Amino acid sequence: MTALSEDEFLVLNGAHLKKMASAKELARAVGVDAALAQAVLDAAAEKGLLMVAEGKYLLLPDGTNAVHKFYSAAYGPLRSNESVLAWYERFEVINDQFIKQVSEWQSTDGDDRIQGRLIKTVERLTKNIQELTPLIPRYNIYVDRFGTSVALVDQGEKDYVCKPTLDSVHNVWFEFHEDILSVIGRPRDT
Amino acid sequence: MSYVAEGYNSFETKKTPSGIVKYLPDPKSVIALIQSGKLKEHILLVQGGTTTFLAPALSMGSIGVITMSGAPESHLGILSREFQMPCVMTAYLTDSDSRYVTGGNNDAHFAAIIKALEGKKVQLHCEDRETGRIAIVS
Repeated sequence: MTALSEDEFLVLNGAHLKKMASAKELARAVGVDAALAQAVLDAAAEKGLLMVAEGKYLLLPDGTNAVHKFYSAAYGPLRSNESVLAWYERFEVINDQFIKQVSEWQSTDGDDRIQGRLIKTVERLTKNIQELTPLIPRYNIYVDRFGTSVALVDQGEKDYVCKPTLDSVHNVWFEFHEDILSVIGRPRDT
Repeated sequence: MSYVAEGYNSFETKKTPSGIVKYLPDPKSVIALIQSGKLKEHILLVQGGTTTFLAPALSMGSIGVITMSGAPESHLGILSREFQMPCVMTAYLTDSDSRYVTGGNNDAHFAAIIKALEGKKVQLHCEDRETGRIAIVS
């Protein structure tokens, strides 16, 4: 199998992180033109790298392997970079806090005080991600996506806290978590 | 009613989904199940509470999930509540003293649960705030 190009990686990595999404959703999530995303997805489907179910794309094992190979080649040096690994350890702490806050938010039917704390955690992560963007420029898209979702929550659109079918804060967080784990080459706990 | 297994309840619900238990060890098995078109006939059994590869199954309308580790405060727990899909977490067999141990070797524990549940028709009962229960349906 030939290595993925940068554009192919961006789009297929979107499918890897989102698990199941339309071409339009993938294009928006990774910041590429919708026509480009569609072309990459069509070609990847031809090669058996992904499948389509109800208009949404899912990576097949060969597609996942291709994405992981790109991560290894592109981010190999970061896997032994002390500052990146230390950054990730700090993220784990914030991640635990975030997961608990989202669970609490759900169990209190969206309590405003809990929501305020949750949003502060997201803003903290957004600030921290900017420490990584000189090394991983594509992470700027997470800063933008978190900013958009937080602004919508602030405007009263509570669905943007954790609704799975929207670009909610929880969805963006979930994808970022998968992404940073793939960068540092650490499998997620099953 | 007697229950073959129980665990943490992800959220209280009156839904009592029933189906044949299908163990899903990896992303490939999730995709195969979706491709089979029989997703909604099954209660899905997975090892962990952070099993992100289940996400497509949740999006496609899976009816219920049993995990053998993990807590309701996890990505999967959060998603199950959002999808309002009953989910029993860190399930254990009620006729056994074996329990999941964080950081321990749980292979035999997982294998016993898989052996007891896979292929059986079960019903999930998640009315209780804390405990989700699994009954065999004859």
